[in-house]
Amino acid sequence: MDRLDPLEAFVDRVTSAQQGLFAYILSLVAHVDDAKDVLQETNLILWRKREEYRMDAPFWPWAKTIAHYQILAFIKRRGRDRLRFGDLLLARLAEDAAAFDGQSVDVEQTALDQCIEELAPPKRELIELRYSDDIGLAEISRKTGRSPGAIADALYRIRGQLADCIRNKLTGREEDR
Amino acid sequence: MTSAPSHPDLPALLSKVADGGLTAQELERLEAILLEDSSARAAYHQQMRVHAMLYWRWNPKRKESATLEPQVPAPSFPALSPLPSPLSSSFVGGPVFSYLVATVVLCLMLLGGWAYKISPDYDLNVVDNSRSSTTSGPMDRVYVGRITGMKDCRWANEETQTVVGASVPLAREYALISGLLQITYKTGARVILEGPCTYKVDSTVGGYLKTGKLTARVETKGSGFRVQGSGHSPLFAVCTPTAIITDLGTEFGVEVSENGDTTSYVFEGKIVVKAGIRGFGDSGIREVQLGAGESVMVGRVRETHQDSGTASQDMVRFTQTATPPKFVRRLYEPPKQLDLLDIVAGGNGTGNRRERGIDPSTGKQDTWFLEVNYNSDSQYHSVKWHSFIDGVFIPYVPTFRFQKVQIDSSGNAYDGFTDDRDIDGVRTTCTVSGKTIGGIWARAVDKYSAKGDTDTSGWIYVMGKGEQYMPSGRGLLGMHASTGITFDLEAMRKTFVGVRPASFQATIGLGDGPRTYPELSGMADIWIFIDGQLKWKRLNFCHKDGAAQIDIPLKPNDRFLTIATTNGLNGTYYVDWIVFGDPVLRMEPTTVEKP
Repeated sequence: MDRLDPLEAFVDRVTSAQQGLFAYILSLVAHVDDAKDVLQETNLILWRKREEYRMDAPFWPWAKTIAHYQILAFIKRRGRDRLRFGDLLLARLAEDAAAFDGQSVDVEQTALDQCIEELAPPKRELIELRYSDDIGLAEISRKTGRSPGAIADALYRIRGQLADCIRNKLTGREEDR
Repeated sequence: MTSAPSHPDLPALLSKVADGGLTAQELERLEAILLEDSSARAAYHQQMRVHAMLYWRWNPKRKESATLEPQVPAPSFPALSPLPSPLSSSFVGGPVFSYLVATVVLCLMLLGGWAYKISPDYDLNVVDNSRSSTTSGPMDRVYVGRITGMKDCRWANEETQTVVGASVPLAREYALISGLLQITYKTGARVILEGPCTYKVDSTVGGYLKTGKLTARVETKGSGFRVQGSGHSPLFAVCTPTAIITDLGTEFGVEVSENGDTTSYVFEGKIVVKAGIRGFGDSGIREVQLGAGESVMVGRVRETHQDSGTASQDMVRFTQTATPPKFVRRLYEPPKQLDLLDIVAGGNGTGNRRERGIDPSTGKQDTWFLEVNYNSDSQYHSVKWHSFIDGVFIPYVPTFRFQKVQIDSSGNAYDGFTDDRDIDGVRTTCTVSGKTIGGIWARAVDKYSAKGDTDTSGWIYVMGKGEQYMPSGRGLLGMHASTGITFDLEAMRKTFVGVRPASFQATIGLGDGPRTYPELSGMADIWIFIDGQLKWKRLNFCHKDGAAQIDIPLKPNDRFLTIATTNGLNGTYYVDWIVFGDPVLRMEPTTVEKP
């Protein structure tokens, strides 16, 4: 009774993989808008190929492979119409990302939520301006009276701090077990 | 934190990948680093992973706002969110259901793509009072408003710093050593904190002023002030160590001294001041209602006998204040420049008004660009409807009665518009026409968006886009020869306290475009005066001369800036389509004087 219909189960897996796929794609295409486009195309391909997927097989490697091909197709199609990484670097980054585990992103996201709460208010507000309000560097610079370079530097440091915090929380969590 | 110390420029490059602004050269540099250094690539992956998670953390909410009710908890991906289940169990799992799921999923996938591209901005501001407990952030934090202004803020500690535009969560504390900080609540209330001051946002409709001063102005969005009993919105209240000040509509100030004494003053409307020691219940509470111009102080009274140190002996009393404290009621940011197009169009120079002008023969405002001849009556015409514009005039041929052309209201006049000039070694008299066409006009950048498809037949529109004359994209001040306008710099200084016009900047040019008589060529003179003294001129200016930058310095006490155009040596004023592109007055703090 509780078992999902195969189609529902497939939808469930695609749903669960969205954030991981987005992070994976973004790491290779670098631009958020491009990553969203590729994610859409990946979702369509996943749907079209749903019959090829065996429900007893791991979903993430299959989905990541399809996403990877969609990235390559996207870059080939769009060429260098905006600043993009060259083929050689893309291949290197893809090699690095081979071990990318999209399934852990959900857990990391939970840790991230906690880490954001632990940020000093000024840092938290800067991150919120950048991501919640989706404000670019120039606008943040205008609002704060700080140079775009200083804002970029601050965001870089905060992201680094959040990465450290996530790692510590997840490591601590594993140690607790 | 992963680091790559061998590449000091790597952090800036990685940040630009995530936040934008990477140039082609920087991309090349970044590629070189990432190709050769695996630790740099690790740093890149780390940044991008956190970047992706941060984006994802807020992005689904923005995305879903186009299709879902904001109260609905956010699934991670709307296109594939679990289906609602009003369906019977026999239906679920059946072939029809499967088909439906497949169809809906595919449609939603496609629609999800549309939502990505066309969803409007998610407005965090629109959470009303009645939903004050509604969460606005992913971690159930309640946001009550935003920081809407700051001036010269120095902070008591790093934890209390903030930036303009930041959301204000409940329980946030702001501690200023000096400066001004403005918080605008979602209810419409606006609070200006004046350092030194410590203020904690302890409710969606107020806060706790521990020490220092604040001014609160309570307005409903759009329609006057909120009044008691208006129903859906609680009253705005400020708590202090000794009192609770509740707004009954409009504006008041509160000052809390170091010992907790609270002085309240009403600028407009009414407030209720309820006295009581914070944390000791309601015993002994008294309250007074204050109206506009009234002030009261609530102070602690300590008994002098031996038990005076116990909390139960704390009492408060009302005292009339002889001299209420001074409060800052507006957060004033002086402009860095004044837009002369905005001024000519009726604004104060800080806005973006366009498509208005001035009739140089009367000084009255023109709301339509009329391509008609204006003839000089040899008079200077004051502009009564705008304090920043002293007047306008049409330069004319001197006569026995009017030998000089008056160029400002103080009586300064000039007689050099008509002069003798050398042309091919021959001394030739250049006579001003005493006429102009179309008035003084503030044209928008895009003439078609400004006026629609109609009424763009005048020279200011026919001359073309004129992009070369407006590098900053502000617009064009059209001053067909011969005409003049004088701005009142002193009036500007009085309005914008703390700053003064320091220079007049513009890009001048002579428009050229399709016209009735193509064989005619424009040629005009441009004159700039300060207090009647000629400071700059350009004679016989033609279209082929292109765009020319002007930057005329202004002294602290200069009163009038006059800009005039006259026909050039060719003796005709036809097609003398002079424009001043992006005309602005650069403002400078009055305390900074050039040697």
